[in-house]
Amino acid sequence: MGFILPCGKLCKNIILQDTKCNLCQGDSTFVKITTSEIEHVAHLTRLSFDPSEIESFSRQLNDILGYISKLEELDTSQVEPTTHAMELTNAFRKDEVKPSLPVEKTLSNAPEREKGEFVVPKII
Amino acid sequence: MPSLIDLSIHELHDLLIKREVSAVEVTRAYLDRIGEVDPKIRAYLIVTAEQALVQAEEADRRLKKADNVTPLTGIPLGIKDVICTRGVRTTCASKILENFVPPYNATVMERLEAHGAVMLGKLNMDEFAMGSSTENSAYHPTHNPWDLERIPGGSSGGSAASVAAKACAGSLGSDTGGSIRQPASHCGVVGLKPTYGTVSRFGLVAFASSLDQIGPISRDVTDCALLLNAISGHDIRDSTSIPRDVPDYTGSLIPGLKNYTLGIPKEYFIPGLDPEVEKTVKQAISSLESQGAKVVEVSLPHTEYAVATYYIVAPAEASSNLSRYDGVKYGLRASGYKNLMDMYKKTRSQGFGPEVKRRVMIGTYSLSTGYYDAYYKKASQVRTLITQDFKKAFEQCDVITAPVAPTTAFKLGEKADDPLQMYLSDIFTIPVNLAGIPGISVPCGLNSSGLPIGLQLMAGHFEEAKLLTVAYNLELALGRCENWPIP
Repeated sequence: MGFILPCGKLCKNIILQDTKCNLCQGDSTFVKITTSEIEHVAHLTRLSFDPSEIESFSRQLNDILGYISKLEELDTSQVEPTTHAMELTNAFRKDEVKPSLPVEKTLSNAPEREKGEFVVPKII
Repeated sequence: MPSLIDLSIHELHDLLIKREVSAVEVTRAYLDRIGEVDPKIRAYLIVTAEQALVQAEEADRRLKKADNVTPLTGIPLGIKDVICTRGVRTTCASKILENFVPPYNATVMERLEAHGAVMLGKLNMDEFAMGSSTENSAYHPTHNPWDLERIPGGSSGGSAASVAAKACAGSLGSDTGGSIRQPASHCGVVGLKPTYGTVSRFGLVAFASSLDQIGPISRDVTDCALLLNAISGHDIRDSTSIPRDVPDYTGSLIPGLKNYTLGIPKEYFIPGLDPEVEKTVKQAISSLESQGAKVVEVSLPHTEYAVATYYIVAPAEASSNLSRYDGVKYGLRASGYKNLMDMYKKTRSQGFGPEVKRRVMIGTYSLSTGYYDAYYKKASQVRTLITQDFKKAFEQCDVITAPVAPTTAFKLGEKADDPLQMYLSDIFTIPVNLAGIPGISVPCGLNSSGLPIGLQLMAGHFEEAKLLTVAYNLELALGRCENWPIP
């Protein structure tokens, strides 16, 4: 993984606050996330974009992902990933029925509701 | 007698229990103040005047009978609009929740109600707490009371600006990567991010669940301790809440720092740090030293990787948390859709602002097939390294002292088109969230244009008391920020 520069080289370096590669001074603003990938990710996350939005978005996302690739500098092969912010295992509670919100209140914010249920577009 | 809005929470409490003023009078004074200054500051999204007066009347009944009176009884507070308030619109400053009225209260709201505190209204923020300037609010930006052309910081910009403008006696914010400390620093007020798990997240609209914490923003350190006392403690409805006794934090407000060792991390004093901020922060540290604290240099070698780590971990969690906005259960549903998929896409595309879309996209990308190891797993490993840095540093010192932000408040619009530059403004606050430790921002000086600068203090897990002791001593040495002469 890295940046494909206009000179054709693969570059893993990026200088902060400056999008020039510090090896060959190439412009590293276009890279790893392509328009079709953006469309794919947008679909996965249930968003849609105009073609003009996609252009500015891919530039911004590439800047951000370029900066994030800084993590590649670190060797983490021997490091355990953090899975919880604090050491806390199994916060158990008793399995008992407790009062909960009535259906009417639970549905009170639903954009469409009918007979105590959420209304959704037909799916079959 | 000084004007009621000039008083801190503990000063108001003294007058309330002596019955020299009523909670209704205090609440009216604040509502008048909001009417006067908020058209310029725009800290509030909603002012709940009617409800506030009802709560104040109830507080007066309690005060009259001396029944269940606490330091927060009858005190008017502002609440960041990311915290669910029963019967009061909670928008997260997003269009997607424009009409959302929670049918329940967040745990922190239940606790404040039990204390008889008064809620003045809901405070502006960056949409879903994503941002550093409050410019990402879908409704309007908030202005810094010290200079209306500047941002108040973010994402709890309304919470900090309202306290600084005396438009509430204190407020609650939330901090995922600096969202309490950075605006507190830019507005010259005190802001504390508690240890992860200290304050219940039940009813806090989720952004990045492994990083989010609710915390207080206040005029002074004593008020910070009082608010923290009220909101802390185990909650069975938040399974990441830590079962642990809450100390009385006002017990740590003691003069003298004789047995304290302060660590100065060299990685926080780097090129890019504004020279005036550096000078003021170093002067504050010297002042703590002259009160008896020992100062040592410490190293947090992975600091430079914190922003990159955060911008994988936080968006990844956000992309999952924000999948709940589907146009079915609550919030916006777009019109004119062809089928279910189209309904989802139209609803989310119309309901979310650009920054939320960017983060949800980064999160989804970094969790997607083929990229998980390179991004999310890698970031989780670097998070471990950042946490270990702090553990090692706290073997040498009690409290780490550092700047809160590399600069003072920037101008509205200055960084709006460059998300990466905006992200980098959180470089000194993000590591605290990744490690789950507590951090506080205390005003420590003004720059040559009269803009406030904050000192950040960080301590090990559950060491809020140490933070408050050091912060209190700084306040004793410097006095309250609002009284400082502008250079």
